[in-house]
Amino acid sequence: MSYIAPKDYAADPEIVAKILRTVSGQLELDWMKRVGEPAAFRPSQPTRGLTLDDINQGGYAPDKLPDVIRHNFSMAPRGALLPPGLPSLGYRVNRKSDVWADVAASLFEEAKSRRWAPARDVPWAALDPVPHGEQHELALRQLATGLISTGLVCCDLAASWEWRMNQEFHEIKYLLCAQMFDAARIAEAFRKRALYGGGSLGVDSRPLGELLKSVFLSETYPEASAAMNLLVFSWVQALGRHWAATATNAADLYLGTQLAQDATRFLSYGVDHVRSHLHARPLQAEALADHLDLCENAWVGTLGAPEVIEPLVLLSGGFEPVAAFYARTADEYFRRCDAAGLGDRRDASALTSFLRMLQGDSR
Amino acid sequence: MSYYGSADYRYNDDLALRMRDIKKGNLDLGWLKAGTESRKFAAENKKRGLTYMDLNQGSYGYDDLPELPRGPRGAAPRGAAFVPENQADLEPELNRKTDVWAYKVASFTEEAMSRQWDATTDVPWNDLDKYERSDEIEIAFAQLCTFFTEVELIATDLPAKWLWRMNNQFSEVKHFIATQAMDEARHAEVFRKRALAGGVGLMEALPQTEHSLKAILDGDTYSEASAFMHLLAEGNVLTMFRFSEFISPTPVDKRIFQLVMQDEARHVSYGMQHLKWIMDHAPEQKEQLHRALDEGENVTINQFDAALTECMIVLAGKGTQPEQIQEGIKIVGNMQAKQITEYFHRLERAGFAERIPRSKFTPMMADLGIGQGVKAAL
Repeated sequence: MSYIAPKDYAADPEIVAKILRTVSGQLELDWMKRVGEPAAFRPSQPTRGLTLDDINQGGYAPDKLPDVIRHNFSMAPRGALLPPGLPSLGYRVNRKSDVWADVAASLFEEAKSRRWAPARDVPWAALDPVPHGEQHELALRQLATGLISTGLVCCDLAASWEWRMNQEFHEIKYLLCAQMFDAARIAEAFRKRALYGGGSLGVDSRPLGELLKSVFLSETYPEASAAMNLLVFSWVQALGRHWAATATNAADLYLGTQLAQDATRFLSYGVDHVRSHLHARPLQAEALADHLDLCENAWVGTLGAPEVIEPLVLLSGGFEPVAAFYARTADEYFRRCDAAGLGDRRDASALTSFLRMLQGDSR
Repeated sequence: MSYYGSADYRYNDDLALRMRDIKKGNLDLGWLKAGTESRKFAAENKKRGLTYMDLNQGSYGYDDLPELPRGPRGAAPRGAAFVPENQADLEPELNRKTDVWAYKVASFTEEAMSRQWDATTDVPWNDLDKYERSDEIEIAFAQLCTFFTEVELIATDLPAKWLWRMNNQFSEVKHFIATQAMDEARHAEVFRKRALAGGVGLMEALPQTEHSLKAILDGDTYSEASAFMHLLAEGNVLTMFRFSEFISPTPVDKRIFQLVMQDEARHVSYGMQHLKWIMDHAPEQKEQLHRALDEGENVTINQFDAALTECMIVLAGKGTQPEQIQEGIKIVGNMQAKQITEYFHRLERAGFAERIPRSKFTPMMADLGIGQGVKAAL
């Protein structure tokens, strides 16, 4: 046990005396006078319910927060009165501009309202009997194996930062919990997809593992966010759309659609977060660009790995559609980077060289 | 950047040759011969859908997962083909099944997935205006909501602190922890919303409680932290939720407690089943867990905070008149005794009954001469 209390409270006569005073009816009740800012917030739109934006008003709103948190390292909720004696819980991410995105509260609300459960919501019976050829099915299972790995590591990444963030940023912490939940659900849904019926998993991909490790071991939260939310989820969203577009049955259509929908939340947060971060701290652009250079290199390894590109070739009907799919995905990713304030990354990116290689070979 | 991949793909002849081959239609297709097990998986109960329990077979299942899954350290899902020396090592720190596993964890995870709710829309917030509350009742309830808002996020921070250190072979446990993080974020959200909808707003944070939260977060091992948080702390909170439903000033508040209770019960059950797993598979850890709970119980005793106890007394007695205070004390005293008896019952059910005579609560309750239920449990 790392934390040792300053007293053996079980043997502390003061505590027993305090309890006995209370039991005998001698209440202090002075806490009743320590009231903060009154609040009686109601839903701004009754049908939408009481949202986080509805209660983010006055002293409870995040817009009054300073960029660097110096006043609270405890779990006291933002806006509560802070008495002396609150301990530090060791939070390491204490700069608002390192985590903040105005859209986070809405994305958390969306994550809850668009909940789904793979066990019951996927029409699994649509896969009985397998509605396409064996190679097509094995290709889907191979891609599903990669998506399980991606879900597992993205869940880890969100978790590895959530507990280090100051409680003053509770909207971001909530959203990271939703990201953990969403990422774990990706792993669950595609595990079930790969195994349903006479199923099996495919092979582990070393290049995908290296991409995920590069992202997971990001040194700062903004780097981790840019790498996971912008880069990895550009790929995941594109895969979701492709999965839905090539679906031969209702189960795969549903899975692809849900995957793309969930991935879009990661992307929305990533763009807004990186943009806010760079707006407040423009000098960090170089560090993020360096990190994305390395992650894009690892992404190229993934896109070119036989266990990734070949299933796509089988599902898409040849090499050309996959080359076009990769080009579209990269274009969307670069546009998001630009929108996030990272500028035009195309010229410097390993991804561009790779796309040229594909185009050159296909001419 | 802590990790650099093994290849620079800008200047990679292998990649260029491979792309040329694929373009020509010469696919390698080695991945088609994964050599993984093929089994028949189907939903046993169509209404329940395709669950983790339905997938619990052979190399894909969790029953056959050994105590020491040697080899897998990367992102490969359990049952996939992988080459140990060729995987990207994610350096997990919790690699023993006993470190994390719990009986029934797969069904807890499925339950969590199917019972998600939304604090924004599932609580009839506008109905609060229909019910009159005195100022002192609303102040007491605001203090209780401030406390719950304060403590609920420990149950996201603590699981998050450990989740990423767990080997991916334990995916059902990791998934359960992800659902718990989401549940607790929603709990913090719903109590914050209630405090800010009632007219009073948030009140004062509680230093003694915070020390207890710090002790939870600083647990040396996941199992120690789980015993303290899931079993002791969340067990206490579960009893408080039941009690709070009983003393809720409005039906809106009762609804809140009904929703959070089902989640909290699941978390406590996981903690109990994890402890039971340890008792059955690694009983040598008992002394370590005793020491962790010695200190956990110690800081819990210090949580006897005037604001927290008194706000519950005011709510239970429905006011601050002397006779109301006396009634409140009786009800809250019973609740506190129940917290301890339920904790002891959970220890018993987890196979850790030997903890009860050593518990710091035992002499304390005897000194105070309260809690007949505790004595009965002993």
